[in-house]
Amino acid sequence: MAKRNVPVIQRTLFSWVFTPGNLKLQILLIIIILVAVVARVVPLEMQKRIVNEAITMGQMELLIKYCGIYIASVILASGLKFAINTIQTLIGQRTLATMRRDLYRHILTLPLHFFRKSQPGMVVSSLVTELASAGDFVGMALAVPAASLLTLAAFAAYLLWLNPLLAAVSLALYPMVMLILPRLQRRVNRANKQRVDITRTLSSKIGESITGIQEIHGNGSFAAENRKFDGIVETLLKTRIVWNLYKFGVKVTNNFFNNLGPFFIFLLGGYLVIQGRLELGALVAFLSAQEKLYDPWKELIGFYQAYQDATVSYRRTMEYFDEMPNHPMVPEDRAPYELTGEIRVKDVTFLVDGDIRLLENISLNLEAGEHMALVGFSGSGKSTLVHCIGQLFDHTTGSVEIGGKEVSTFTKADVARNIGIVSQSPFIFDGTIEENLLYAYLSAREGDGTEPASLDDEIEAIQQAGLFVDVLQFGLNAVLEKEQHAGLVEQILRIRENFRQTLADSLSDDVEFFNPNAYLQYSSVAENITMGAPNRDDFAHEHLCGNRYFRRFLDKADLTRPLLSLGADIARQVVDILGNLEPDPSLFERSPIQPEELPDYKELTDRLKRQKLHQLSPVDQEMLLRAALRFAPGIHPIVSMPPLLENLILEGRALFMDRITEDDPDAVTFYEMRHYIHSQTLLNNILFGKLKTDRPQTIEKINQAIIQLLVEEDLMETVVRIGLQYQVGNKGENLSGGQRQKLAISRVFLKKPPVLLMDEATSGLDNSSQARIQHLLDSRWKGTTTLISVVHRLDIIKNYDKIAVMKAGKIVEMGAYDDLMGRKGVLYELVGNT
Amino acid sequence: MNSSETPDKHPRCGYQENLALLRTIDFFSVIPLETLKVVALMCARETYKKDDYLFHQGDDDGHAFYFISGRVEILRGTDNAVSLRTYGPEDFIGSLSLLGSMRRLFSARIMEEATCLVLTRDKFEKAMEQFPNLMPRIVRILIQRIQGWEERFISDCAETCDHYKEKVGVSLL
Repeated sequence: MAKRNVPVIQRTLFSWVFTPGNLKLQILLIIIILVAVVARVVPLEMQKRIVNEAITMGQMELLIKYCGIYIASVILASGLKFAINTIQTLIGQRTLATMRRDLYRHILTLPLHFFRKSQPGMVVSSLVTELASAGDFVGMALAVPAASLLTLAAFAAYLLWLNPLLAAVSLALYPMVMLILPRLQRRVNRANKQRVDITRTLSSKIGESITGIQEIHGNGSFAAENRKFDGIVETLLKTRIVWNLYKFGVKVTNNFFNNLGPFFIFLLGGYLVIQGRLELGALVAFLSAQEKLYDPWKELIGFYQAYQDATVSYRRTMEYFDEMPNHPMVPEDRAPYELTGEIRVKDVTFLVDGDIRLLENISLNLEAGEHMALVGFSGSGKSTLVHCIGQLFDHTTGSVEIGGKEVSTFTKADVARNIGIVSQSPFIFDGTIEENLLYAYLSAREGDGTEPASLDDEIEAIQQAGLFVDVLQFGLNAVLEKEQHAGLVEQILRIRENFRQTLADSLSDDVEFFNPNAYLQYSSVAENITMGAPNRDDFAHEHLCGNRYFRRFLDKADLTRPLLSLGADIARQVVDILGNLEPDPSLFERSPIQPEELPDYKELTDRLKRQKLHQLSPVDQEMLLRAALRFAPGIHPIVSMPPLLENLILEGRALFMDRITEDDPDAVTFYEMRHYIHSQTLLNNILFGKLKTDRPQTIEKINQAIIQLLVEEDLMETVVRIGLQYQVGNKGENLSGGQRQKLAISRVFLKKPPVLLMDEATSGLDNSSQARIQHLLDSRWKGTTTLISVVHRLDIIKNYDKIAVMKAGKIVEMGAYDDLMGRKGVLYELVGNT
Repeated sequence: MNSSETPDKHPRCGYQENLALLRTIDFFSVIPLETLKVVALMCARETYKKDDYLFHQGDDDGHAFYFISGRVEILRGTDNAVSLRTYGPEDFIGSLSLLGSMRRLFSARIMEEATCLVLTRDKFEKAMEQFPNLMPRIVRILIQRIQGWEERFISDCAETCDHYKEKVGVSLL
């Protein structure tokens, strides 16, 4: 058990070989190897007996028997080899997984200053690639040397038993190889290192020329640049030749000595057979065994190289993370503290590298439930102080006490339970809104089995932070699963009807209503043709380009050719604008072609330069149609919609309606006021149309209107629940900066910690949201939660119990707002200046 | 400029018009065409009615507006706002807020129905991320603009009016 407590970074590579999980497997491995070695030697003995006893004596029976044993042991040896490899892989991969898990756990707990100096890329490559060779090595650490050495020993023993003299002569070669090979290998390594260095120089030279190409052309300095480049290439050439020669040297030496073996055996063995002192069968067996010595020998050398690689990369990785967390994760002999919120900071000083004092002799006292605003110039230490109180930084001297306990003795679980912190640019994790909302709440209650937060609590938290309307909007923008929300449909249709009667007219500038007689600029070409929602997968708008019935219809409606031409325009334009960019989805919002499809469309536009539309392959034509069918002129401004095509599509719409009603009436449900459209969002269903703009003012106007209707139908909670499942994307990229901040605030509101630390937490919000949150803090949280808030805007600090003004790492003024203003000191000046 | 002037069978699409307009804006003059194409795609064309607000004082809305037509009034103050000046066709306002978080010192209220090209910080940053070596150029044009502003300020006001002499120095920031 004690061994388990050794931190992962201090474990040696070999300590992984016999971990409790691996031990049984390793023992099993040794047993299998022992059997396998015997199974490898048996064929040699059989060879001898086949020649000596069966063939020479002409004994057919013996021949069959020995051949049977021979083949049986060959099969057995192969099977065992496979078993060995399986176990080896199992051990290696399991160890790698454990190493990764343990190291990841360790890395997450490292103090924050570690991450300031380390690159995320380095951490990624350590966990992803560097450890892989170490894992592989652990897999083979026992199996390969054991198998090779035992096989070598067994063959050697067998050879000695056959003929000591002959064996001694052929085995004597190996010490010679061991003498020469390492020397050669050292030269290979040296040349290789040189090669890497020179290759780097070459790369940076190429980089330099490409970056400075304008200068080269401007000065006509081609010859000079070529000379520089040639010099490096020449050196690289020499080094590579030397490196390769040494590498071949190693190979040749190894081969030479191995081939020398049979030479001595033939010479000496042949002499002995002629003299009658050795049987012919024994000579055959001897030759085979000698030849077989090569394999385990090669494996041993390979193992040696893998060992070198693995130790280097393992040690480098572990050394890189060789630091310990400053605080334990969970308390060992007690439950996490449940503290009251009083804060006592006494003479706190915080030094960073180079003895720079970021905080100096800070003292402050807050009773539970009191609120304090920290104000001052930027760089005055406000954030640093908040970080020290929240244990994110460890103060150098002095004491910080919360609820009478020193913060530096807190475990991370105590911090999570008692302190909530919102930073200026909070981080949002990939997942749903709800997962992020529960993030702090669940971590604070990890493992204590309390009730999960109720939906009411969640709604209250997002309301308090002003995120409610945003979540509602996410809900409205969701496309509902047909089966999942069947009950909603009737209500939504009623809301649609109400909306149409009361509000539609006033919003007609902002909404494009579904209208069977007009071309819809904000709907795709596919929607414009079908004017309906698919009931089957083959009629889904995305699949129409491959739907045979639909393709035949396009031909009949004379739409195929103009749509292909539109698709070609779209493809060319998208490739021209976005073709060379990173595939970032937000750049492709106005493109009918998605980032992951771009490479294919790039190749297609190349072909379009050489081929006419009708010469394109069916696959290419389908791709062009796909792009054209997705195109909505109001959303994708990249090309214009030819008016002629608009008319053709409108005619096509009528034709399609006739045809499909006749041929396949269940395939599509047409957009009609009485039908819920399952392929559209909730919002579009209520509007029975689409928004023309994403302008905040318009969206707010629509939201106000729809909230009213949702309340009437008692649907708010349902839609919010759907909105809580919105995927926020990597780092919350699907949210605006303000939404991210509001989400971070809601997640501490949900957690309700006794101590709340806010570091310019509302700086990204508009005036009214900021004022609302401030009002809430003043009215609901005062008296229950102790708050320290770094505040940039001085017009919201009046209601704080205390204000501390910081300058150059010190608190220069502290007191109630009116007192400080009356004193006409620093705060007075600061307020006057803004 | 206007799409109705090109009577061919393919009217110019929004993106092409945006691109043509962006190329006339000083702030974008240092940005190479390949980047400007992406920016043009990110732009939205919006119409604002009289009395609509583009932004309010204190907001950090992160929008920049190029006026194709119409006029906007710049106001200072929250309760009894004072009208300071107006902007109209071919003016581009808000470029600084594309570059980083910034609270508005003014409110902007539409006086005459306006059509604007609107660019948001989020979108602009996304486009810039794709061309990391552009930032130095943008900083350069900003420096030029600040310097130009101060030069005008000095020759228009500061040299003649003592009250303003104390207020010079934005280019010494």
